[in-house]
Amino acid sequence: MRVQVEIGRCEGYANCVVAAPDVFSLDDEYLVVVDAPTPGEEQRAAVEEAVRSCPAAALALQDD
Amino acid sequence: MARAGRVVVVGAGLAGLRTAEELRAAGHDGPLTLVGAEEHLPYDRPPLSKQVLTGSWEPERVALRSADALAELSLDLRLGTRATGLADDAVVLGDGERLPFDHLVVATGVAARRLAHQPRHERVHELRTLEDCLRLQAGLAASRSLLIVGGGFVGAEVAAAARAQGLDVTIVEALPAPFGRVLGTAVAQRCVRLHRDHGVRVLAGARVEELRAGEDGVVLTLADGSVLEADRMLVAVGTSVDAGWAGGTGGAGLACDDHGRVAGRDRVYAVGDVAAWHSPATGDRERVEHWTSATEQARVAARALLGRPVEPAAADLPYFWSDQYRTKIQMVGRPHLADTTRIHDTPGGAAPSVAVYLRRGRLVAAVSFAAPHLLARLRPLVAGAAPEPEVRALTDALGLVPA
Ligand SMILES: Cc1cc2nc3c(=O)[nH]c(=O)nc-3n(C[C@H](O)[C@H](O)[C@H](O)COP(=O)(O)OP(=O)(O)OC[C@H]3O[C@@H](n4cnc5c(N)ncnc54)[C@H](O)[C@@H]3O)c2cc1C
Ligand code: SF4
Repeated sequence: MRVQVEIGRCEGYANCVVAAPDVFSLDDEYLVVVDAPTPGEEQRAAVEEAVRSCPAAALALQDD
Repeated sequence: MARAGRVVVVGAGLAGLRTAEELRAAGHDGPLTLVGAEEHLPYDRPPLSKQVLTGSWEPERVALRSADALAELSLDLRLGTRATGLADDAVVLGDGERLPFDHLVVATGVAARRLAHQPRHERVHELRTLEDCLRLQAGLAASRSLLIVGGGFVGAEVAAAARAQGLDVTIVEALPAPFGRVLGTAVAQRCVRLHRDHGVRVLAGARVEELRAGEDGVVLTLADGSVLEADRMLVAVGTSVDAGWAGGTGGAGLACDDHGRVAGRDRVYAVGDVAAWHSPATGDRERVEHWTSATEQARVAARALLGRPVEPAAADLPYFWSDQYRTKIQMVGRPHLADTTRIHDTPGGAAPSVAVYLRRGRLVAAVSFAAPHLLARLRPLVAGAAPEPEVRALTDALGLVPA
């Protein structure tokens, strides 16, 4: 499972951070940082929620 | 998987689009019709009081999906079409056509509420649709002052956008404190301070007596006799629901169970701002007008409709964000239930800050100012209604001090 970010779309809403704090954070410019680009299976529900909750559609989840 | 048959979704906003997508993702390969009153492809509303209003986005960017992405959903897309009536197994459209369905999802959202005696005038604005937004944007560009009636989040964001363009801005709120209804008094004071620090005049406890608009401006008379004048006015006093065509009564929206099934109907669901879902957490029905509620409900309802397993948990925890003057305000849970509110600041009395809301010693909500990472840590505690000592242990561990 791999997290993909289209950084040009990110608007810094931080909804992804709220949904999956172990996977996403924001940098000083309020852009998303993926702390865990290949999260474990136990993070799946949280990451799927993050993908859904991103208003900018900047995130995607790809299965290996 | 149970066959869903012909599925009709009415309302082509965020909740309607997401429902269509979730239905396809969960395996519905039968007929799927999406009916929307607006002419536009489904678009997003939060940027209307933020990026589009300030001009940092071209209006086209509000589209939720490209025409190509929509085409992939194989929808019978009926834009510019309003549903006006509901029979047992068919939706009646504005032009009289009957659209038969096996399952119906109502996702018609809400409208901006108008004040009694609100004049229809070029200088008096509301903000719900893309047209509203573009009209307001043009209006602000040609104005030096703005009166905002209503101290909610939409009004607050417009205040911030208008200040950034150098306008004189006054917020007029009927309650003792703007935002007070949502955030409670102590936290609302923080928001008021934020606005005052940015040069916005905030008049609380101010009841509007009369509202006039003319060639060269707007005039607001308050109950205490004072008179306010400005170049234009935004009325942002909340929303109103009109679901009468689908059997909704009063302004309450459509009463649903915790999977979105409309009470008393087998094959009708409702999602998004129009829907009053039953909350297992509170035992009550509540309508939550938040972006993520619409997306979570779309997922739950689509899967329930198809007979697929669902975990409605995230749909039952309200979450909201607002951007004002580059300060991100985020909220999770139900602040209005609280009997106690505590604010914790970064040492020095500044943001990042969080407010925790407790009811009988248990956490029911949290609000953060410029602190998404802190809110993220508090969210599981809100979801689990954590006891006060546990909340305190976390705010201590995060290095925050009571205000
Ligand atoms: C200016 C603004 C800023 C916002 N900012 C935020 C924010 O920062 N954070 C947040 O969490 N939420 C925010 N929201 C709220 C969020 O946008 C809503 O919760 C969300 O749009 C709800 O989606 P919905 O699909 O239920 O309703 P809508 O987006 O309103 O879509 C409903 C659609 O149904 C159509 N319709 C209505 N009646 C009929 C009918 N009879 N037949 C056919 N079609 C019909 C409407 O024309 C509309 O296009 C904001 C809202 C506004 C207006
Ligand atoms: S939710 Fe989306 S827009 Fe917001 S910070 Fe995360 S990636 Fe960026």
